[in-house]
Amino acid sequence: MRAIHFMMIDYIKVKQQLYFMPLFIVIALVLWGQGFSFLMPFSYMIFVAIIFATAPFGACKRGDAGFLVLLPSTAAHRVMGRFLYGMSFAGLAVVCSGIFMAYYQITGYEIETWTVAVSLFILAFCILVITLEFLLLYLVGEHLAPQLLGIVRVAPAMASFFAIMYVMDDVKEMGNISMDSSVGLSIMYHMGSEMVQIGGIAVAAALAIWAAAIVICVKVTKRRDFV
Amino acid sequence: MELLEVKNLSKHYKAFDLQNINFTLPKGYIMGYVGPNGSGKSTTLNLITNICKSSEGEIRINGISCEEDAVAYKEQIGYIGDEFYFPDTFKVKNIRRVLKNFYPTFSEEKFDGYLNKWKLPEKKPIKDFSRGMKVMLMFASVLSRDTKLLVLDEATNGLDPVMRTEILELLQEYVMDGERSVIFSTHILSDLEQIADYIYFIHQGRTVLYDAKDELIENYLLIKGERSAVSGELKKELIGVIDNAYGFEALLPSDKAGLLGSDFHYEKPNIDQIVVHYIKDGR
Repeated sequence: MRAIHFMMIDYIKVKQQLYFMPLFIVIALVLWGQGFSFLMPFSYMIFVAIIFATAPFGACKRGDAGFLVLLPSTAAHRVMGRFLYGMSFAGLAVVCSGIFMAYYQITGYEIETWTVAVSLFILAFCILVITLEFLLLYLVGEHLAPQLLGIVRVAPAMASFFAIMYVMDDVKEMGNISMDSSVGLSIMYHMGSEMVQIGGIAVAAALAIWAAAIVICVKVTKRRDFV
Repeated sequence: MELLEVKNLSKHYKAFDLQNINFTLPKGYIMGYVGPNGSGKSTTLNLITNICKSSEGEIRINGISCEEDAVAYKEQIGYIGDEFYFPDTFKVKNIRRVLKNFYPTFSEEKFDGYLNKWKLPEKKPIKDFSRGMKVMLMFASVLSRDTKLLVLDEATNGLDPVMRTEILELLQEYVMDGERSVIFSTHILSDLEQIADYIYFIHQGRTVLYDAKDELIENYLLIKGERSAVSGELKKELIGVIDNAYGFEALLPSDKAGLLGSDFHYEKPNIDQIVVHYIKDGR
């Protein structure tokens, strides 16, 4: 419960940035409305999730320690709260995309199995990127110089987004997959439901790495001075 | 009964060492933790609050160490620092919510009572509060729950005399029930003169003096006179000799008063004078 309370504190700390969240959801909807596959808005939401996940690190000042570190809790509560905050944005991307998919199906389009598999791989990738960012930020210290923090926050998100776009380059619309498409996507197309299972395993593996990262970050934080 | 026990506390930094700090603070008392800038006052208080981790030593509050039970340990502490510690984006309602979530003993009524008493605006962003308002908000947050130890790190810096007096009265009220204590670091030694029961004086990371305030004042004499009148034996006993236009001024242990002749003027020193002469002596 204390971890949840720390997650809420992170939301309050970055609330001014969160006011822009509806705008990003609208952009995702616009992208989808332009006739792109639902994978496009999903990838976009993942990009947004990666950027927002690290926002509280930018809102840390050394003086806060007098309040936050002294709240009756352990390092594990604080770190877990921060990780839950980060993961909540991956959750938001999934929820938004779930709504997109549901709407797609209600309006008569068929969601092909391979797109579900790709979504799972993208989600696993997102969890992994957020986890690595958190690991880095905890290892070098939460109070990074703002410029460096800016790079750490934005660069992986941009790189992820463009990497996904590169892979998806030859997918102009749903179902337009053939053996001429990129090898990875072709495999997914032809393996069908097995790929969904493998995607599920990838998400589970990413979550396991996320949990392991929490343990490492707790150990680092336990030894750290906050001023 | 001891509320705070600090044993063999050390902290090593590249450029500074806090060495072997030992003291106890009984329930119902106020300790002034004094020393010049960079002497290790804030380091000690940060170790007590667990904002920093000690290299060696042990700290217990009511017999509990932070390693044993971090939640119970921290619940007992109310900390107010020189720096305003609430995040800038917070509003008063956010602070109330967080305190309510984390502290079972937090009383909204008490908190709101302090807000009204000190006219702290509920809706104004706290980053726009004046220094005085920020300090009072920190006090409201710690006094509205059941803490056992108040740790104040130069909390009264930059406050006007009226506000400082009010805070000193609050501290005296706080310890009145005999169950709670205060450790108070400040450069305004006249404040300590008024309220402290114990003085711990630290310089360059090492303990210089630690005693009950009244004992400390009784143990020394402030000597003034002509340099030429100082005998060899007396010279060895003087602490922190400061030359001035009229001769010199120094501290002398009271039990050496027999060395004084009629050529000297002497009086009881205040805490400020004891600290200044000890610092002078250390250089």
